[in-house]
Parts: sequence; structure tokens; C-alpha cells
Amino acid sequence: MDILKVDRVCKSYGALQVLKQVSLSVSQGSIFAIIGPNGAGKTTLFKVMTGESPANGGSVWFHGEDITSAPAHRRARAGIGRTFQVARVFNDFSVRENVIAAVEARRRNQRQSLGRWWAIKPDSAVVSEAEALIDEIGLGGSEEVAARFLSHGDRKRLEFVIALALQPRLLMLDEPTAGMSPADRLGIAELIVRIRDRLGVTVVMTEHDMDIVFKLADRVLVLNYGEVVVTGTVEEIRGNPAVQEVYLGKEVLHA
Amino acid sequence: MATQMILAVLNALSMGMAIFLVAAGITLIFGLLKILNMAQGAFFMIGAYLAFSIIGHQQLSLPAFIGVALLAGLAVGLLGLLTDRLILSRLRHVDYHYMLIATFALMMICHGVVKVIWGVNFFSVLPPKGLDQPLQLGTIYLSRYSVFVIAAGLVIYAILEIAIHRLWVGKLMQSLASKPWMCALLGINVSLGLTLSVMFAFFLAGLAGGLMLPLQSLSPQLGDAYLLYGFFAIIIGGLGNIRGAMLGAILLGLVNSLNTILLPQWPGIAIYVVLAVFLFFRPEGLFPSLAAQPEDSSDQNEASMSGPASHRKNWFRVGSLLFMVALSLPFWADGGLLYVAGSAVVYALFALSWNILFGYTGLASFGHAAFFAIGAYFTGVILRDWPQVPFLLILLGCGVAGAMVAGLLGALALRRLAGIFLAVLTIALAEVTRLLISYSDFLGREDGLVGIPRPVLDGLGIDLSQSAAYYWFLLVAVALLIGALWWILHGRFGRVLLITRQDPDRAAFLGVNVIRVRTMSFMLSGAVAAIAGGLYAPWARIVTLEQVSFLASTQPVLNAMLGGVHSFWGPLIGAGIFAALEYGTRTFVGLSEMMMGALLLLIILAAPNGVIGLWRAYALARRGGAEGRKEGGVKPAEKSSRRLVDGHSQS
Repeated sequence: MDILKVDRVCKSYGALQVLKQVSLSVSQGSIFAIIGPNGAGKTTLFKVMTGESPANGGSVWFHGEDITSAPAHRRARAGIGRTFQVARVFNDFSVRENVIAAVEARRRNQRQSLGRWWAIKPDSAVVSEAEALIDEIGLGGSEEVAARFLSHGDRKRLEFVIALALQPRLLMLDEPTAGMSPADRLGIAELIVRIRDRLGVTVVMTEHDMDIVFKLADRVLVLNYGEVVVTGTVEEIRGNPAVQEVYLGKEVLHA
Repeated sequence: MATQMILAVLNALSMGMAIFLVAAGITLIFGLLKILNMAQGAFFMIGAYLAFSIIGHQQLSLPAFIGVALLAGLAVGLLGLLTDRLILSRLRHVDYHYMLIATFALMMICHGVVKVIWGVNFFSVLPPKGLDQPLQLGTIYLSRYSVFVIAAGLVIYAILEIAIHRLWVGKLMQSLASKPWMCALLGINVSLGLTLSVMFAFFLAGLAGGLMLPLQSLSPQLGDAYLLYGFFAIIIGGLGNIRGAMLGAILLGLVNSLNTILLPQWPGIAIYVVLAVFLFFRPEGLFPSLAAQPEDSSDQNEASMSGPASHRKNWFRVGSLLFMVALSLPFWADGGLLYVAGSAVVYALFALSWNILFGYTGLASFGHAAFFAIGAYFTGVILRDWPQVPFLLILLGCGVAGAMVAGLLGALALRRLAGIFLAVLTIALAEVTRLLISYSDFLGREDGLVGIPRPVLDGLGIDLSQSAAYYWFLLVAVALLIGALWWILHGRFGRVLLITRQDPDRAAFLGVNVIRVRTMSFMLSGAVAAIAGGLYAPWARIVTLEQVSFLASTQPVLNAMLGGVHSFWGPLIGAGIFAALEYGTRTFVGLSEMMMGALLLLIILAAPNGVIGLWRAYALARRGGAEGRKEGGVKPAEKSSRRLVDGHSQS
């Protein structure tokens, strides 16, 4: 079953057409990667899917529901979690406070109990759920550290925890390994696979690093000049001459 | 009829040009620095006063008149240089709210300076020779001076239009505005470029002041009206572009002109109605521009809302001691001191209400006095005309009224560009409240409400007519309200506010309805401010239009900044310190605006986290923490990374 469907989405900035009739569908429980050279429209497509920048035409569907122009909080409540290209967390809060805020937000979204209404401190169930998540993702021991003092990789991890605390059905990752060391990249890649396998979350990601894509993705969409070049499995993409042309250029191939 | 129409249009156009000249400066600075210069109107006024000082009551020839206007422009441009070097350039990398507050403080200082140098009397200046005679067109007589103003506005517009959209200067300015660091890499002196642009914007304000001088009677209120109209023009036209400012200004001129013809008994109201309608249907303005991108999160330099838990017990002791001293005050203090203390208690609550918005939600209100005045007038009128209404019910009514007004304003302001719109609309709210009160007989027009009776708490049979009794009532009521607010802000709702302040986008992707949360916070803030006003009316026993002035709106900002906006208790401490300062310096009458402005500016530049921020820095440094050195609290740019890791900051 398709959890996310993008139907002939167009987007232009002034006269510049960045997305031309892009369509895709993502099946439940898969890892779907969007790749393409710089300026291909990956980030724009991602922004259209997350609602940050509205499409000029076409529609985006989540679980059979039209979310093309739904505001961010609606998407989150419907079960879409996301990370940003540069990790965004609540800097003034400690790691634990960050995750508690996310868990409380989720409980509010799902109309679950937040504990006694008059309580000042977060409910103990919320705290223990937050701490379990922190341990799971490998940030245990840093609960008390203010988010602004975390390393780049740990910030990224914390953002993952925040996104996962929402118990999303779909997780959208915008270049999850951008600007990371090779070791950190591997760690994040393993994390993504683990999230999918353990929690059954569907993952949509844009990514520059081909190694990561080929290792993780079930299906890959190649974008160039705002158009879908091809969509397929990793094997199909690897052998596809059109894709090689996109990445290497015509001259190289014909030389 | 036709004559009347032509005259109306002419008036509309000349007013529109005057507005445009102020709006052009505001929009230039906004486009470049992404800040709304609240002092632009004040510098327009200073330009007018400088020109007045040169011209006096003599009549100049036209070239001499233009020369004087240019001179006024140059002088104000130099003031712009000073402002930029001393203030704006220091605040370039700080959260934009601090910049807003700084320019607001600058406006207060300008007002004070004008009053000290030129006094508060009205002056008027004759138009230059040749422009004082009417121009005859058939049977119609037009003012030559109005035609001159329109022509001058068009010429300046044309120059700006060509410079910005056609010449290299404009390209350079636009590139400075959009990517300053890139310009720096390309070898452009960014700092110099920005300074020159700021100077030019100030020059425009001064020039406009000089040119428009014969159009109005000169008084220290001159700047306020033009500031607001200038803001409205750029909101209607679209933030950060000249064409929009021009169209918006002309539209406002027409609306105001129609207002004078159709509703002569309510001058100046229609503009606010048009603005509200515009914001509702086209909040992005006529020419939406890139300069008005949704703003970044305000999380660049914030600090946690609470101090180390280990100190809490000591603070509790200090607090209890202070409360005891406050309770015992009626037994030993004289009437004057008691009055100051009672007012300080009310202002503490008022400052706290402002900080709900700023410290917890990351939004600044610059017209919070409107809510205070709504509560004060509401209570005053009911106590005067319907003394049988229970007082506690009146206070509840104040809260409901404040929340409703805030809710309405929030619905207009908080949809896009929340911070900037809220800043302008709250100023507008204070101004429109002032206008409405001054037009209403039962609110005492300019004289205010006098001799407000103090209430009796019916059910409890407590008579509050004596100062001591009402003072104790104030203390208990404010303590209870503060307790309730502490609970609200430290619980779950407070946590939602804090994440919204730190990163609205991240919060939205967690399912937080940011607009709704901000509106709720604004409503809570408005309700508490109105209740503070309601408590104040029977204490002072007189409520006047001063309660809606800019000075009154500065009070909570200053108190909160003074104490520290990143602490729940900061605004309360600030109110106490300020009351003590005021009591100590009560003999310097007339310097209040200058002092308040200067103090506010000093705090923003030197100790943006207030007394509590300095205290925390001191405490950390003494403990020799690793963060100690970073905690110096000297430069705003260093304000980042102030976090006291103390487990759960809400606990």
C-alpha cells in the first residue's frame, strides 16, 4: 500500500521551473531515496512534500488524504515526522527536556493522557518514555547536556529522537548525513535501517552520498532539471544509462 | 462639490507624500537591516525642529527653504551615522526583538531631547515666499505649497526608484541586504555600505521633516503620527520596497482625506479600519518582497528560564522577607512612599504580563499600555457609575476584555511575520485606544477619569477605601495572580510556549499549532495587563490619557529588561528597582522619557539579560564554572551559550 503519493507536482520561482510534473509513490515500510545532481530540485521537492513551500500545481497525498496545503502541525498530527538539513533542536533545553517536549507534543496530538493537569513537572510516564528513547538512540548519559553544546552528530541524533518521539508513520529526512564525518555517516545509516526494521516506519530521504543511498534505499528516484529521470530499485538505477548520463554527462559517455 | 473633491484629493496627495517620505526611510532600513526603525518618526520630527531653529518665524525664499531642508537632512543623516555606529552596528547579530526595543528606546530619547531643547509648545512656520499664495485654476484655489510638497515627494520617489532599480548603487544595496557575508567575500566593505545606507535613510527623514515643516504645527507629538502612518504604508505596500511604500502612503492619504469629509467628528479613525481590513485580506501587502520572508526563529541568544535549583531555597527566603517588608509598609511609611510601593506592585504585574509574551513566547508588544488602559478605564467607569457591581467581578471583566482585544489583534497580527506585525499593530492599538478615549465623553476625553472611588468587597465586608487597606488588597491580589502565572508558565503550557519561542518551525513539525499557541499567550498577556490596569485605577484614583502613551508602553518593557527577561522573577525585580530609582529621582521632572529611553538602551547594549542575567553570570564566575568566562554579559553577540545545566529547568 502506498503511504505517500505525489501527483504531478509543479513548482516555479518566477520564470524558473524547478519541478515539472513530478510524481512518486512510496509504499509502506520502505526506504525511499531522492537523488540527483546539485540544482536538480531535490530540496524543492522535499519542501513541497513537507509543506514548507507550497506547490504551484499537483497534489500530495498521505494515507489517502490530501495534504498538499496542510499546515505543518496538521502533518505532524497525521503522523509525518521530519528532520531538517541542519539539525534543529531546542537549544535552551537539555537533551531530556527536548525529548520530553516531543513526547508531550505527541501525546497531545494523539489525545493521550499527559498526567495530572495541575502538575508542574512532566508526568513520570512521559519522562520514562523519553529516557527510553534517548537510550535507544545512543544518547544515554547526555540527558542533562544543553542541546546547544552537543556535537554535530549528537544534534542530529537528538533530532532523530525528537522525530521518533512523535511515533510517526512516515519519517522525512532532508540529507540526514550532510556535513558528517564518515564514521558518523555510517552510524546514521545504521540508525535509519534500525528505525525502519524495529518500528516499521516508512522513510523518505534526500541524500547526496551514493554509498549511503545504495546501502539503504529500497527504491530510488533520480531527479534532474526538475524532472523524474527514473524511479526504481538500487540495481535498476545502477545499471541505467540515463542515470549515468545525469551524473557523468553525455560527453564522458560518448568519449 | 467638484472643488471640494479636488481639494480633498490634493490634501490626500500631500499627506500621502509626507507619509511616503517617512515610510521610504523605514522601508530602506527594513530592506537592508531587517529591522523596523521605530525612531524614524522621531528623526523626522528632529529634522523639522532643526529646520525650525534655522528658519524661525521669518519667511524664506524657495531656494533658501530647500537649502534649509537639505541642511536638516544632512544633520539628521549625521545623527544616523552616530546611531548606526553606537547602537545599530552593535546589535546586528542579535535577535531582532532587541533591535526593535533599542530603536524604541531611541525614540523615547529623541522625544525627551526635543522636549528639553524646544519645549512642549506648538510652533508653526510659514511656507516660503511664492508658495504662500493660492494657485488659481478657473474658480478653484489650490495651495501652492501642497502642490510643491507633492512635487517634492514625486521627485524623491523618482530618485529612489532610479537609484534602487536602475543604478549600480541599488544593486549594491540589494546584494548587501540579501547576503552580507557574500559581499564581504567579494571585497565590499559591508559595514561601510550598511552605515551609508542607514545614513541615507535618516537623511530622508530629516529632509522630509524640513520640507513638510510648514504643513503642520510643530509639537513633540509630530513624530508619532508619522511613524505610525509610515509603518502602515509599508505594511499595506509590502515590507521593504519603495513602490509599495509610495502606493500605501497615497492610499492612506486618500483614506484620511475621505475620513475628514465623511466622519469629521472621528478624525484619524478610518486609517486603522483600512489597515485592519488590509491585514485580514492581504497580509503580505501589495508588493510582497523577498525582504519579508518569514522570520527565523528567535533562538540565537536566549538563555534558560530558570536558575540553579540549589539557590531556590535562598531566593524563597529573600522573597518572603521582601513580602513581609511590603506588608508592613503601611505601618511605617509615609503616604508618598506607600503610593510608590503600591504602584510598583501593579507595575510588577504589568511587566510580568509583557514578559509572558517576550520571555516565554518570543514576541514583543510595544503598545501594552493599551491593555492596561482598557482595564483601568473599564474599572474606573464601573466604579464611578455602577458602584454596586462586585469589585472582583469587575477585575474578571477586565481580564475578559483584555483577552478579547488581544485575541482580535492576534487574529490580525499573528498569521505571518508575527514579530514585526505584532510590533506595529500593538503600537497602533495603543494609538487607536488613545484616540477613542479622547473622543468619548463618558471616558472624560482629554481630562481622564478623576476621583475614582475605591471599592468595598461586598461579600467579605472589607472596606478598601483607606489607602492601607487597598494596598494590602493589592499585595494579596497581585501575589495570588503571580502565583497562578508561575504555575501556568512552569507547567505544560509554559513548556509549549518555550519550544515555540526557541524554534517555531520545529515546534510546528511536532504538531504544535504555533499561531494558536501565540494567540493564547497574547490573550493571557493582554488579560493580565488589563487586570493590572483594573487594580491600578482605584489605587491612583485617577486615570488619564497618559496611561496610553508611548511612555506607559515602555514601562513594562523597561522593567522586564531591567530585571531580566529570561527569568520569571526578572520583571518583578525590575519593577522594584525602577520604583526605587523613580522614588529617588522624583525631583527631576521632565527628564523621564530621556532617562527611561537611555536606561533601556544601556541595558540592551550592556546587559541584555538584566539584573538576573548579571547575577547568574556572577554566581557562575564565582563557582568557577567552565561557562563562567562566557557569562560576562557584556556584548549581546556573546549572549549565546548561556545555559545553566541544572537538570530539568521546569522542576
